Amino acid sequence: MNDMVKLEKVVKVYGHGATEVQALRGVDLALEAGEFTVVMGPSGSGKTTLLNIIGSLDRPTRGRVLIDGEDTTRLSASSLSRLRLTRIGFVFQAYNLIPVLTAYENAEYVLMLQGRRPDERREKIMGLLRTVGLEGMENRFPRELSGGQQQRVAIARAIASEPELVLADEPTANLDSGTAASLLDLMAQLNEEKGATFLFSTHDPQVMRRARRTIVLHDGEIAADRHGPAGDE
Amino acid sequence: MKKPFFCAALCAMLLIGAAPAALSADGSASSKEILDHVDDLFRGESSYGTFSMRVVTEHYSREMKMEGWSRGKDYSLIRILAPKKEKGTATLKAGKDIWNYLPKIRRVIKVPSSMMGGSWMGSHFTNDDLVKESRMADDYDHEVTFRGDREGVRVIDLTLMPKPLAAVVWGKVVVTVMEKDFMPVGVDYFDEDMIMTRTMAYSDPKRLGGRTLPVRMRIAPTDKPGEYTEILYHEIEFDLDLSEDIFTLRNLQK
Amino acid sequence: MTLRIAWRNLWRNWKRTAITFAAVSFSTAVLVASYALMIGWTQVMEKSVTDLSVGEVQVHHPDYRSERSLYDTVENPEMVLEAAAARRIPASARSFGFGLLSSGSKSAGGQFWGVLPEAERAVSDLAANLLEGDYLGPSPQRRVVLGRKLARSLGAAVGTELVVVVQAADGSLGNDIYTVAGILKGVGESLDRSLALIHRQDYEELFVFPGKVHEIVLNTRGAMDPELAAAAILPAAGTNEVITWRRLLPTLAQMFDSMIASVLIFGAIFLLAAGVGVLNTMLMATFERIPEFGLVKAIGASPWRILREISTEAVILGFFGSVAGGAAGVLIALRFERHPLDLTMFVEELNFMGIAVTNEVPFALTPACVWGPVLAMWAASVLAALWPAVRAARMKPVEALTHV
Repeated sequence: MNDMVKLEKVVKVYGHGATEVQALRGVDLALEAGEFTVVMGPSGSGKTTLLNIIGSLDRPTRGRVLIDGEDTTRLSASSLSRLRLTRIGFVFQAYNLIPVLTAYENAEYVLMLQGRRPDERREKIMGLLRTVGLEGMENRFPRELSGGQQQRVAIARAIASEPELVLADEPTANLDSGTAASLLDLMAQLNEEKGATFLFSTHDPQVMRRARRTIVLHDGEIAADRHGPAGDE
Repeated sequence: MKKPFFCAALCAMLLIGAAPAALSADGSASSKEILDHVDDLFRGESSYGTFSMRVVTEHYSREMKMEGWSRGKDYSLIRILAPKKEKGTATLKAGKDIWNYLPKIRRVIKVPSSMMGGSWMGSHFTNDDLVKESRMADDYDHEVTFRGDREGVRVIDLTLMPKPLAAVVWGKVVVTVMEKDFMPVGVDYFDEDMIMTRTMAYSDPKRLGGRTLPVRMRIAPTDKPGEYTEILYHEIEFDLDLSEDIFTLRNLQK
Repeated sequence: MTLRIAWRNLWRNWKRTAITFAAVSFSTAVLVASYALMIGWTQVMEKSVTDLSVGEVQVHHPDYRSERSLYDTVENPEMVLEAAAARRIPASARSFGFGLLSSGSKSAGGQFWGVLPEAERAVSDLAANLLEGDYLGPSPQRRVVLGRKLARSLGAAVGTELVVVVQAADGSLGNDIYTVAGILKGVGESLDRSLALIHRQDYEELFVFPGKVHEIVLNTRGAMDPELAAAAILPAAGTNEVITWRRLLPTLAQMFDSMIASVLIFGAIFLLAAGVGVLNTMLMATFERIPEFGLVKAIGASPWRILREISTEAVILGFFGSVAGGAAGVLIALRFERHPLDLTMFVEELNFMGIAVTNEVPFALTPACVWGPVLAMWAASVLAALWPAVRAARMKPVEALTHV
């Protein structure tokens, strides 16, 4: 059993009665360590919900979510914080950075939460920022960075603690294609070098083309799941 | 505060006196007749007398020699003869008012109403006692409550209860007289709660001024054991021809 | 890092921070100043009570206060006075007696106080409260200082000759002529109506009562706790009763205590109001940033960390706000400590339960009236921030992230 992530009959319902929306309708899914996988599907198909549930930002209405065999639906809020802190990295579409912290501090934040020593943090973050191409911009605040630069900071933060799983919700949505490409290169590189598992949700064909596994979500159900980049449909 | 009997006691002693109506001593006299006899014993159209007053209290004892004049029931004048320190100090009563003459500062001071309840010359008499005047038989309902031997003497007790509208302070008064001649022996005063507060004792009957009178009277507050004021008459004359001028503020200062 | 984040967050929306800061500091300043005012007010009233005539400690014959008898005099007054002198406690012996004063056809009863003028001046402010004329001289001259209403009812002015008649201690009619030396200002109803202050030697002659004293008054004017002053002379007091003014005038003492209590209640209400203001701004600040907290939670911050970050802001803001307000309050209080607040424009004469009180109210700045409000306002701001902080900390990250 070396499934990094395993979902069993995960159902997620929002609202009650008339306003009830079934975002996920019994999803079964397994991700192995080191995957570089894309979740695609039209808007409202449940991509973000799926990522949130895998990332334990949200709890499923029914079903189980196992990370390395551990059922996260049974964990307390603070255990989940711990889980996210040590094993999962997030890159969101928006609201990625803490506005009052510099690029360096944002990237450093998770390491600080983990209680790493300052000199260790410094070495690591400076290296990472160099890797994501933000050398010399360490002391800029988010408002002083472009959208792509902000996402780079977010990625740096997401991988700084070397998580086993990086969840990226439409990471390229607000970026021009050149920037998006260089980010994807970066993540692919990290995937290969560090062995981290990546799961993206995206509309971006550029992203889809890079995927080694593609999961198509439709109305809260997995419509297709195949290895290799997304097809031409 | 009306304390009629002190007046009857003190004023009467000093003052006033129509010859008391002769009373039959055969025991048939009514309680009213006895009371009137006691009230009138010391009264006259006018009077003059000399007496000494001895005051004993917890804090001091003093003895004074005084002389006094009276005319009708409204006027009297008392002047201290001794001791030397107070010689010349005098009290004039005219109606409801009292003036004191103080020789040391040569001033006449009218006693204000607020001080009428205060002691007169340090004695157990108050200034009010000097001016309040009434007849027992008028203000009280009365009856004989005892007649017989007490300490070997035949006496009569008259118990007086205030009439409903009478302006008097006592709740009850008991007057004791000799059965044989109705000579007063003592008076006990009770407050509204029927607690005895003062006693008056008469003694030493003597022939003075043409009458037989108890020349020694002693008033004692019941709540201060050992304290008393005693007056001893030396001489007394009734129904003299006294000028009105005696009872003036000018004369007070002489 | 937490401090840095909090500090930067405070500057991020500096207008809101400024408003909260102003609310906290204003409330603190008002609290400090009003505490100082109320304490000053209470002290003034206490001083009015003790310094005018009552003193801090009194010594009597054990029966004197209930019987008011001329003969219930202090046992061995010299010993009490010596004991007080040994401890450098100002003391004055007073002899009392009732008597009649008259001028022409007018007369009135008065309460004579036989005192040694200089000793009395040390324990009471009667001498400083003269409406006209002079205080008693050092030697007996048959002069009298009258209460204002007593003088009025006698039609007496300075220089008027008064005939004085009293029931002397030996049963005689003590009498003499006294000249009015001075007339007091309003110093309280009963003294106004009855006080006739004379020299102790005059008293002894008038009342034929040499060496007798009814009351010994001690007054350190706040230099010593009354209880300690009482204890200091107790060994010399023998059978006499030694009583502090608080036990002598329990209603008044309770009144002062309840004034202090009402100040505290007032302060609590103010704290509440200020706390609500701070709560409001903290709420706004926190809700606006809920997505940010969602992010922070998503990347692994524990609920505690969220709580700590938000409350750190409140701690900083509350600290600077309350300290600045405390400083402002101190300045205000010091201003009025030097130049007392004059209430004359509101009331002509203050009279508190029959005792005259000065119109000038100096503030009294005690350490407690500074750090009390500062700490309380600080705590209130932090408490006010805790609620939104707890709410933010407890939100599910996904809700927080999508919160608009």
